[in-house]
Amino acid sequence: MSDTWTVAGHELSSRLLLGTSRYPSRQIMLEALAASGTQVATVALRRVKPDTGDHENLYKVLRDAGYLILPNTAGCFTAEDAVLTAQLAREALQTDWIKLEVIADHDTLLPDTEQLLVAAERLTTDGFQVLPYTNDDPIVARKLEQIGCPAVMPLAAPIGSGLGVRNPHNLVLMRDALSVPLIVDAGVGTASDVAIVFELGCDAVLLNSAVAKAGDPVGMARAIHHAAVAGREAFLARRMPRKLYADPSSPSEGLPWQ
Amino acid sequence: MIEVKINGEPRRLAAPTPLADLVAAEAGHDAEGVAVGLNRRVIPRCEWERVNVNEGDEVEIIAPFAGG
Repeated sequence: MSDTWTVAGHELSSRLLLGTSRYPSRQIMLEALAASGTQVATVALRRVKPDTGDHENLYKVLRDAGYLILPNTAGCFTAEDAVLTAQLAREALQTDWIKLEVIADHDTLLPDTEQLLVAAERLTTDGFQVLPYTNDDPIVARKLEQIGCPAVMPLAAPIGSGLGVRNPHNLVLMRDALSVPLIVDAGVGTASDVAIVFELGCDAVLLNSAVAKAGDPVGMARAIHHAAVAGREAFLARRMPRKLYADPSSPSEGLPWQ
Repeated sequence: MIEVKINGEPRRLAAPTPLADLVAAEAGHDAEGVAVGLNRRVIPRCEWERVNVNEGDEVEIIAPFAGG
């Protein structure tokens, strides 16, 4: 069954996007990426540290392994910083898509949606394909779509919390309100969370900590791959309606002694 | 001598210096995946040879790192 989706001009068969941070080792990261089946790896942009050469390795390793590299603006607290970081990312990676994060504070890492909208508009005008990390707020999502974002990326729960989908109702409202892909970004903790996201009708999931911080990151990447497939297929198969009372699956006619 | 900032660190240079030289010193000659900001403006790679870093300039030399 062909079930591809398209975001910012990239047609993808995997519905998972994976971060590259906080794995026990570079090797485990690469094995986890492969096990997840993802085609897109996210990276941050930071100051080059002399002597390490680490940045070259990561960039080249990901590129040579065939991954599309999606840079983010993680760590930015203002629209101005996020725009500048996005412009640096475009120059560094020669790519015009950006995972736009504008964070409100260190404790919650929740998006500052006011600054996010400002940055999204400026970057879209500047020719970027903006993938905005946002709250699970259908109204903000609609504004982001109107600005021209080719996808909207709501959180399931705060970044790195692993709490799973806190407000499934809002994700469904967002799904109904948007015509661009809905990518849940942040907050999933394990495979069942991923399955739920897809069962709700979301198009993709971007995650990092759920895999990187698992006891066995490669095993979790594999589990999440299966969960994504299961959740997506369950969504396409259209689940049965929920009922308050029982409804026997065996026929009530023809019972003996009655 | 001129005083500049490179990635937030105060530095002294003997004279105004092309960005390309600073990038080579900080990130190596194979600067693939590197981008440069000068006073909060991105300087495209093709201009690194031509653009000098002058007194008081703030240079950012960045690259992809692990991120989510």
